[in-house]
Amino acid sequence: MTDVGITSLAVNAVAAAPRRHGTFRRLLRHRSFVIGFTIILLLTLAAVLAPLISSIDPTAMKVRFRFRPPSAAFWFGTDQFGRDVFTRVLYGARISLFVGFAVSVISGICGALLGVIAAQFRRLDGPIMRLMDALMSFPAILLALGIAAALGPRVSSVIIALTVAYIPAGVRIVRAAALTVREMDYVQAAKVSGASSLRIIFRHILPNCLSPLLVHLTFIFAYAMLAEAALSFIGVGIQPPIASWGNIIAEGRDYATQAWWVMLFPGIAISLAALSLNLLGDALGDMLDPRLKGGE
Amino acid sequence: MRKEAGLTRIVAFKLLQAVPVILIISVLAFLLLSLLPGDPATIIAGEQASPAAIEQVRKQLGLDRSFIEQLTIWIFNLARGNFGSSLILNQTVLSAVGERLPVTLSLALLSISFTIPVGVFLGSLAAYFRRSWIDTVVMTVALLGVSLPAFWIAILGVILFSVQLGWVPSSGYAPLSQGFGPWFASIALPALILSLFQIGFLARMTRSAMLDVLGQDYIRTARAKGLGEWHTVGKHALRNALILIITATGILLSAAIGGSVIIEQVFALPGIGRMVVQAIMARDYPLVQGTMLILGFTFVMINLIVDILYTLADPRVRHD
Repeated sequence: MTDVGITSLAVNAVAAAPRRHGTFRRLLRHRSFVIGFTIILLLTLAAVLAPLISSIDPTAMKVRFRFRPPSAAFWFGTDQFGRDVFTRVLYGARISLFVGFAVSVISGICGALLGVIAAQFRRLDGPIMRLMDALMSFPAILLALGIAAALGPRVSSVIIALTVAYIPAGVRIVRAAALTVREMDYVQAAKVSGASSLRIIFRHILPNCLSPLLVHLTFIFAYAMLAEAALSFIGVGIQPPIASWGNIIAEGRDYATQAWWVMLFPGIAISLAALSLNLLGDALGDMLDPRLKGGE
Repeated sequence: MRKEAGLTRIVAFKLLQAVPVILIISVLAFLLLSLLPGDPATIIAGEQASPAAIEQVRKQLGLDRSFIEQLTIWIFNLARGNFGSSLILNQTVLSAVGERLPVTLSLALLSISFTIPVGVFLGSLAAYFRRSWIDTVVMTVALLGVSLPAFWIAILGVILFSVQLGWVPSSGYAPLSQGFGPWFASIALPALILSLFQIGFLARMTRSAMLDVLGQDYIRTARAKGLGEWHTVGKHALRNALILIITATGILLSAAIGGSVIIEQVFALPGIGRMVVQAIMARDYPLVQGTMLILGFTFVMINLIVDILYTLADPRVRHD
């Protein structure tokens, strides 16, 4: 049994130690960070270099090679049209990672701006937060489903839909952080010395709200990828023949008992990607608030 | 509200805050149709439809009126409890949702009743045995829970438990009126799979909250007083962490309903989620719109109740 009191003292001592090693050095010693970072780096490389890794066209159908089990020629086997599943999973990585990244970046920027505005201009606080409450009243996946369905089945629709669904949480996080930061002495000092409110926002408040947002966005990256896969799986997201991890699983589902490999590998790919991002998020959260977690 | 505000005042304030939210939701749902690229009447009627059929859809949906007129009619209809009618089901949205609600609600509630005890237990366990192998195991399981795509696990689950082992039916729903056994068998697996993400989420949240509480002075005091571990952790710590669970319930319900939209597809359960997806495929946008609206309203109410319960449970909130 661990003595929690002593452990937390130890953790505090570590946190208070002079930062001779930079943040990056400390991250490199963090197991979750190293594992998460390595996996997501490899997946990103695989996505970017897809045409170099596999010379096969992901949409090329060779009926002669239908439902081949995994082999040296077809690492992940082939599907009902004789397409190479390994190549499709590689190209699916491009879509899934792109959607996840785009959603977290765009929702992060919107969330940061709206959150700071709500905290700084008190008259806009009510309207902004009520709008966010309204968006948050829908389960995120259902809101995204509705918007994506209305915008039509395109990659951009999926990105817009998921961005709208995930903005409110970001706004709340930044607003809460900004409300604390704006009461800090240095912000008050800047105000007294006559800095404009734009300068205060961009130089003093925003930079100090970014770390909780960064942690949050790492998780949003994972959630957005899982949600994209789910939307594509039910047919509202990325449409075949463009390969996305979700729609490969949807196509493979009907043959799951005969050709298990079609649905198995893209599922492993999604799981690995989401797992690595969650590990990264945990590690970053740990670094920023060592008091709460102890995953090292 | 510097001093302790009266509970009634807080409840009244929260109720008042919900009014604009409900209005905004109504307008947002109304605007959903205007997102359609091109003419909504043509899209809904289908590309092959005759001009007469398109005109009929236009009239039926009131799209021939001005924007302001449409919005006014929409809000007035909502105020009278009219959420519109489905184009394909020959049914109002409210009755279509009502008919399918028991399926989705059974699924969501059963999954939450798996989630809360398991998630809280695992999270507390990990916090108490922090940095031991128990912590590592529990947190790995929780991490898998929030990382594995539920619909994929669902397909694997069907293959294992229905096709291979034959323990539960692979699809379809048995209403509670057919008896508890068949009902439970028809939704146990989907509910359990729905719980995986939520258990992971709740365990992670409980662990952080418990670590926070366990580091507080009053826990040290309780230990110093010589109170037993069970008393200290069980009574003092968990009780404070429970406040968090109330807050989490709203999020969990939302995640459960959202997740069931996807899971219902895999298990062919005739719930709200399956209806929405079918409505989308059939371009029955009024049904999509109305269903989202009803769910939006429901969650405003749920969040309101959660907020009020939270205020009741945690006296500190009242001092803000």
